[in-house]
Amino acid sequence: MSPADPDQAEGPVDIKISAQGDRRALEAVYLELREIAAQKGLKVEYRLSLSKPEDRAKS
Amino acid sequence: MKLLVTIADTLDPGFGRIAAVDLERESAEIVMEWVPPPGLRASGKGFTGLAWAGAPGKSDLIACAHAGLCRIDPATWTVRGVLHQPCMNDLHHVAVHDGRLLVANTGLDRVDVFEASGRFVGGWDLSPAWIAAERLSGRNPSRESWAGALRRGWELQSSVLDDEPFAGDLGERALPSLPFPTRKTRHFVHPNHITMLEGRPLVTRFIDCSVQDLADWSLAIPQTPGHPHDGEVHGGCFWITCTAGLIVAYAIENGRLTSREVERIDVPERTGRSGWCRGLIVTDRLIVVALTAVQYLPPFGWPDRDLSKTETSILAIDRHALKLAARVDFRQFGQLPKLYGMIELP
Repeated sequence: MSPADPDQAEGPVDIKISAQGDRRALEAVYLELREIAAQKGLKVEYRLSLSKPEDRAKS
Repeated sequence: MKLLVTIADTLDPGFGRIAAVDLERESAEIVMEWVPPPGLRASGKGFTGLAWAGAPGKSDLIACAHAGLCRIDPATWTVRGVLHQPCMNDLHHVAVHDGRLLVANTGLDRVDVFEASGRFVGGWDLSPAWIAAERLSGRNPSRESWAGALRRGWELQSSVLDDEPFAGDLGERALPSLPFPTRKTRHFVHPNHITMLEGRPLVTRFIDCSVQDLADWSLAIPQTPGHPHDGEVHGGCFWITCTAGLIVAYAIENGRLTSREVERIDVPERTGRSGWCRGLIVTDRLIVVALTAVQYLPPFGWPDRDLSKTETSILAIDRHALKLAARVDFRQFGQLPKLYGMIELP
């Protein structure tokens, strides 16, 4: 759920970040965000979407 | 029966995860998650092999991360220490024997041995050292070039290996500029699992479908009926998983492994369930096997082109009835979870 007013958010908020072909950089962002969130008692869920099925095949 | 299993996920940043499994309740829960330091982290690569450092249930655990061993306190589920050498890549298993750790350094086709203190003792190269040196410096020889280098014989030849880049995104993960521990490498033997049998280290060799006795270099089982993964000694037999879905037992005679097959269990035929078979526990009553959903047609083949039927789960097979006794579904533990090593909880 992404409420209209983020200050009022109580449930999960979706944040989408494009990896732009650099998966490791994306993961570094996630890990940092996760650490910051943990300090504030929040949890970050990470879901990686691959643009092409063949990329997924080679992972 | 309760057990521990290591979990990785193809799409995660490379967390080391362990789950505790209760077969009677057919349930599992993640008990620890470890984030490797940046120099050891490889995307999609988590914990693999798992062993007790000493007495089962009364000692630390040793888990193979992609490029190091983690010593874990199971009372607090914290990592007490990490054993890393810059030649480690894609570790698959660790066996603990006589105060020493025997590590399948799969990405370099080696077995390395350490004292429990972490001090290096020695090891076994499964291909010539100069090839390992070339690979450490960034070369990715083709399979043909590697095989040719092994049979140089008595004729002097130039010491040149070719370099066959990986295709697509794998190429980016195999760049010579990347540090070796996190670099994608081409495997030629792919030692998966080490088991000690009366002081003799037995290693499963995935690519050439064999089991090697490292005490005398003999191929104790020259041809397994599939690509072998885990190997366990139980009840006078050596049991292996073959990744396409077989569990095979071989006779042990006079303390030595033989190639005489005594039992074969076809997991899909017996259970109606299939997946990439790795982890194995054998008891008098049960055979427990870890399956992972197959995400793409593996380069070494798969019996069924319909991969959608494969699953990530732990199956317990009743040894006498040869029927499914319990099943724990692991789909909820990530996007594309993969199961590796299992050990029994006493």
